[in-house]
Parts: sequence; structure tokens; C-alpha cells
Amino acid sequence: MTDNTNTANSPEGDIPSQTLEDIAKARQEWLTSRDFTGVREAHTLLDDIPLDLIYTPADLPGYNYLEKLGFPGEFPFARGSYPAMYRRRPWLMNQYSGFGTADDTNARWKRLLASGQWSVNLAFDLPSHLGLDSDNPMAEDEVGRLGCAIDTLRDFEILFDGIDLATTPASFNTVGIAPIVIAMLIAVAEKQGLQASDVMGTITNDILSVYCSRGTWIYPPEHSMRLATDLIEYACRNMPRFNPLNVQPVYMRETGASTAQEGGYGLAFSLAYAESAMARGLSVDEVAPRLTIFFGASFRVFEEAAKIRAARRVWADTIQSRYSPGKKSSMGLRITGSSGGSGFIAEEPLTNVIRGTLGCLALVLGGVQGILLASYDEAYAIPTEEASKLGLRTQQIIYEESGCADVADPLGGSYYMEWLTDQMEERIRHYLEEVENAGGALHAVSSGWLRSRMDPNIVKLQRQAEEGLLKIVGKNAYIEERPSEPDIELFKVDPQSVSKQLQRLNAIKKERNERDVNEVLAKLRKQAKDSNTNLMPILIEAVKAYATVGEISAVFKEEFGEWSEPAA
Amino acid sequence: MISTDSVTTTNTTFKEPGGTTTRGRILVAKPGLDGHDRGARLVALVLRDAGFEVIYTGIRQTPATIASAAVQEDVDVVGLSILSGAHLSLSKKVLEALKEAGGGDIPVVVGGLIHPPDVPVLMEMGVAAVFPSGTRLDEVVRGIGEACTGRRL
Repeated sequence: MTDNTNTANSPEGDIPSQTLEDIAKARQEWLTSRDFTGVREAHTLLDDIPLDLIYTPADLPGYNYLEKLGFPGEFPFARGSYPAMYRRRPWLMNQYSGFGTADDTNARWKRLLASGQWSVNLAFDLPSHLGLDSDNPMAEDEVGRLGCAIDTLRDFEILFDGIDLATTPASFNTVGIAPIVIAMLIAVAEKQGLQASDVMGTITNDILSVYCSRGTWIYPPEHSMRLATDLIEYACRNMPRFNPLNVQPVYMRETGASTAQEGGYGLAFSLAYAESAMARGLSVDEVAPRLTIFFGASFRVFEEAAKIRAARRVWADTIQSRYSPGKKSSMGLRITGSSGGSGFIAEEPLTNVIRGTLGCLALVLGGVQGILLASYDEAYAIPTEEASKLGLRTQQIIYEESGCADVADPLGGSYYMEWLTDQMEERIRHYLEEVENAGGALHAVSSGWLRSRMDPNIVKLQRQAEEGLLKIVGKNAYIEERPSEPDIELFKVDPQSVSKQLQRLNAIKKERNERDVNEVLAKLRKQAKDSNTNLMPILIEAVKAYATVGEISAVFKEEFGEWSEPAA
Repeated sequence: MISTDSVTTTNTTFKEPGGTTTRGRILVAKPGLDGHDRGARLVALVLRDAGFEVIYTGIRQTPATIASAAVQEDVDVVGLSILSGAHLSLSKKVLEALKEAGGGDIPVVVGGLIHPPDVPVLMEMGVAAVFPSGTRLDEVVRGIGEACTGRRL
């Protein structure tokens, strides 16, 4: 153990420097008087921040409480983005669900709502993400497989049957077809007697993240950015209760980004969208409060909480220094998050329940506004209903029974926590600047540069796990004999779903007024050519005429072209 | 830099027409619509470190494109990475496309989220080796090395 504290030459903080020196001296005496030989080294995951055995006030020289922490809902927002935090209301508890057809998903949503979930979150199947109708030959084998198939407004009508959009927030995890999806949401809300301004919820709409991971892009980056910005602008002007962007650095985490890279790159993306929307004539106060960010959480509780706290501080500081906002909410970053993903193991699926609980705890202690907890069977398949419900139950238990939600920022003031938050902040700032210096977010992702920054980490993680340096219980540590097949029930897609979906699509194409469809698609094409036209109004018209997701996307593909990734 | 010391290497090496020595030419491909390419990129990086020549197609390739790339590039092995659950039908289509393109002798290996009961089904279909997620990297490298040797002999 080394003494790496330096209290000399620091500005006077809350604790007099004489006291800090006394503590540092006492700490040194303790270190030399005891035997620490053979004590293992420790560091954070991937960022490799070396960790000392213990942290004291001497690790925080010159620490000024009011500058560094302050109060929840106040600059620099380290302690939370809302004054009363979870005493006012719990975080939004979301479980990702969607499979088969709209009827299947609607039925599952109703059961989740009955067990206390108060929002719905739609997973789309791959053809929908990519703008392909269910009857497209490319869609074969994939219709309804990884999420719900959406072809026309009729699917949305069925999906939201019996679900009041004025009281139930609806979240959508999709990017390439995001403007079409929100056009459908508005159209279906109107059928419920509501307006665009009534609907609540959020949509991913983060095209930058999918160019460097997940890969559900369709068009070249600049055209995708235009579509994303059209939706952001439209929502900022017309949908005060709906968040048109949920930046997804969690995807980069899954492709090797370290904890701090996730924070820095994610904030760089958020700023890029804010800039793009402000270029449409919106003010920082109209845009910034509408953007949210979605982080992944590993099971390393303190690192994740530190990242979340540090990200809020970096965002607040950056927005303040660059744009001088008038509203506090422009600086209070709203964060949602998930835990699970590639950290879950297939070998002993039930151990993932515990991992998910730890990740969830990290997010709650960090003070996030929404959590989507992966189901323990996710390492194998899309979640069974039972596993999905357990994810919700985990969140409810943490909220109601653990006491973790009773006090805002309960980790604040821990010497370790504050030291680690400072460490994360420094690195998050570094990675944010790295992207901006590399030509901006759009260039950094479309050139493949950002991906190359993360690639080495996937090899490193895999090797660390294989060599036992990174211990994963039940996978490479404490392994015992077990049957080769996992003893859990796996979800299966009903093969009838595909034929049902195809029949429905076919029926719509026969029922709708073909002339209306052709006219609206021609208008759409004309407006797509003009990058100064916001495409949302015409998209709403198009979906109301029952133009399909595939037909609309085909117009865009013809006008914008399709993108392929740079060679790796 | 990432250490590759732990990768078990076999002595299979080939002389390329240009005179350079390589352990084999691999086409790493992702068929289907799924874009989760962490595994494909991981394997591509590790194979390159281990001395293989790797051509990575990128995501969303059709079986026909994969087959024609494999034949055109004269690869020793085609490695498919599939996480969407559609591995049975996609592998079958790639095998058929390879035959049609005149590359029926190129061994195909499959990695990804493969449920254990599907491994024998894939082998029966004509896949040379299956690496379900969780397979050690050195096993993947060795298995692909063996598949290369099989073809060159």
C-alpha cells in the first residue's frame, strides 16, 4: 500500500489543511506499523484506476462541499437531479417487453401493468428496426423473434388497445424507424381522443450509438441525424410530456467501452444532439431538459454510482459554461439505466438474479430516474414472463424494503465515494473531449474511429475472464458439476405469430385507399429531398393512410441511400 | 497492447502466394439482420493476433454475399457469428449458398448464442465446428486452425 495523498499546496477546503496533514501522518504511521505484505492489489474494471486499501479526508485535499456536491436539484447536481429524489416518487420501473405480434405484446403489457408496473416499454423485432415489412424476404426467420413486429398503424392500434396513453408512459427502444414510430403513437393517441401534447414516455432515437454498436442503422449518418433531429425538434415544440431522445452509451459498454468511456462518449453524443436541435432555432432551455441518457451498470456498485454522479456534474458544468442556460432543468441530467446484458451468465442463470440486484442497487444509489432490469434468463433468450416479473419485483423490493430510497444520495460524503467520483469525472471529461477533438460525434462513429477505441477492451475482458483475473462466480470461479443444459424454462415464439402478422399486413394493404397511400408517399419523397422540412407532420399523415413501415423506409432508402460500416 | 501470449498455437502455417506466412485465411461473417457484433469482432481480433489473415464482412450479410466473398477471397474457413437464435436456418442457407458458389469444400464454423441441443443438429448439417458463447478463445483459435488444416491437406 502506498501513501499517494498530497495535502501540500492545495487550496484550503472544508477541513483545515493542518487537520488533513495530521490525518495523512496518522495514516502513514498506521501503514508502517502493520504488516500489509501479500495484500492483493485492486483496481476498477477496464479503467484500471488503482484502489487504495482505505480512503480518508486526506484523499480529498481542498475539498469544498458546496462547490463539489451542493444539494439535489441544484448545481452541480452531483447529489441528484431532483430536490426530493425518491421521496417524491420512485424511479420509473421498466421491463423490456415485446414479442410476436401486437396482440401478444398487448396481453403481456396488461399483465405487467396489473402487477404494479406503470409504464410500457416496447421491444421491436429486427425487421421493424431496419424498416423491413414482415413480408419482406429479408425478414424471413426474424418476424416477431426478438421483439414485436410492427408494420402499420393497425399494429399500434392493437398494441395500445385498453391502455390509456394519457396516463401510461410508453417507451420505445428503436432508432432507424423512430420518427415513424412516434408518428404512429400520435395517430393512435388521436384515436383515443388525445393529442400529441398528451402522450408521455420516451424513445431511444440515438442513431450515433448504433453506428458503433448494435448495428440497427439504415441510412448514412448525416441523413439519420436529420431524421433524429426532426423528431427531437417536433417533440420539443409539440410534445411537452414526451422525451424524444434517450442516448444509449450502454450499447458501447456492451462493445467494450470502459465505465468512464461510456460516460464521456455518451455525454459527447448528448451534446451533439443538443447542438443539432439548437441549430433548428431551439434554445438550450427548450432542448436540454428533454434529453435523457441511458447507462449500463455492471455489478461493481461503487464504480457505477460514481460514474452516474460524475456524469451529472460534467453535464451541468458543460451546459452551464457553453450555453448559459436560464433553467436549472437544462443542467440536471436525467439518467436511466439497466443492468444485465453481457454480464449475465448462461451457466447458472439464477445467479443473475443477484447480479441484477447489485446493478439495480448501483443505479439507485447513483440516483437515476428509470431502471430497466434485464431478466435472469437473458443470457439465453428473450425473457419469459416470470423472469421479467422478477426483474420488476427486484426493483420494488429495493424501493420499498431496502431503505436505499429514503435519503437522497446516501453514498455522498463517503471519502471513497467522493474520491472515486472525482476520478471518474476527470476521465469522463477526457473521453468527452476526445470525441470532440476527433472531429465530433458524427465523424467519430461513422469513420469507425470510436469503435477502434473500444475494441481492445473486448479482448482484454475476455482474456481476464479466461485467465481468472476477473472472477465470475459460477462461470470461472467456484464452478461445480452441473447438467449441460440449463434448468430453466425458455421462452418460445408462437410460430402462428408470423402467419398472423402476414395475414394482418395483407388485409390492411387490401382495405386501405391505395391512392391516398401513393399520394402521401409522393409528398414524403418530395419533403425528404428538402432537408429544411421537418418530416414529422407528413409521417403522421403517411401512417394514418396505413402506409407501411417498409414503404416509408423504402422512400428514405431511395432518397438517402443505405449505409455500410467501414471495413474493420 | 493486448497480450496474445496465452493463445495456444499449433504449427500449421501456410505460404501465401505473396510469400508471407499465415496460419490461414478466415472470413468472419455475420449473416442475418442482427447487429450484435462483439463476438465476431472479438474473434476477428484474436485470430489476427494469432497469425491468421482475417476478412471481416461486417454485419447484415446475406448467405449469398458471404458465399461469394468466401470463394472470391479463397478463404480456408468461413466463421459465422449468430446471436439472434436463427443459427439453424442461417447456417443451412450459408452451406447451400457455398455449394452453389462452388465453395462447397470450404469448412464452415459457427459461434454465438447456440443452445446445447442445437450443436449436434449443426454438425449433422455439415458445420465443421461449433463454438457456443463461453468457449475459450484458445479453443476457438485451435478449432479454426484445425479446420484450416483440414482443407489444405
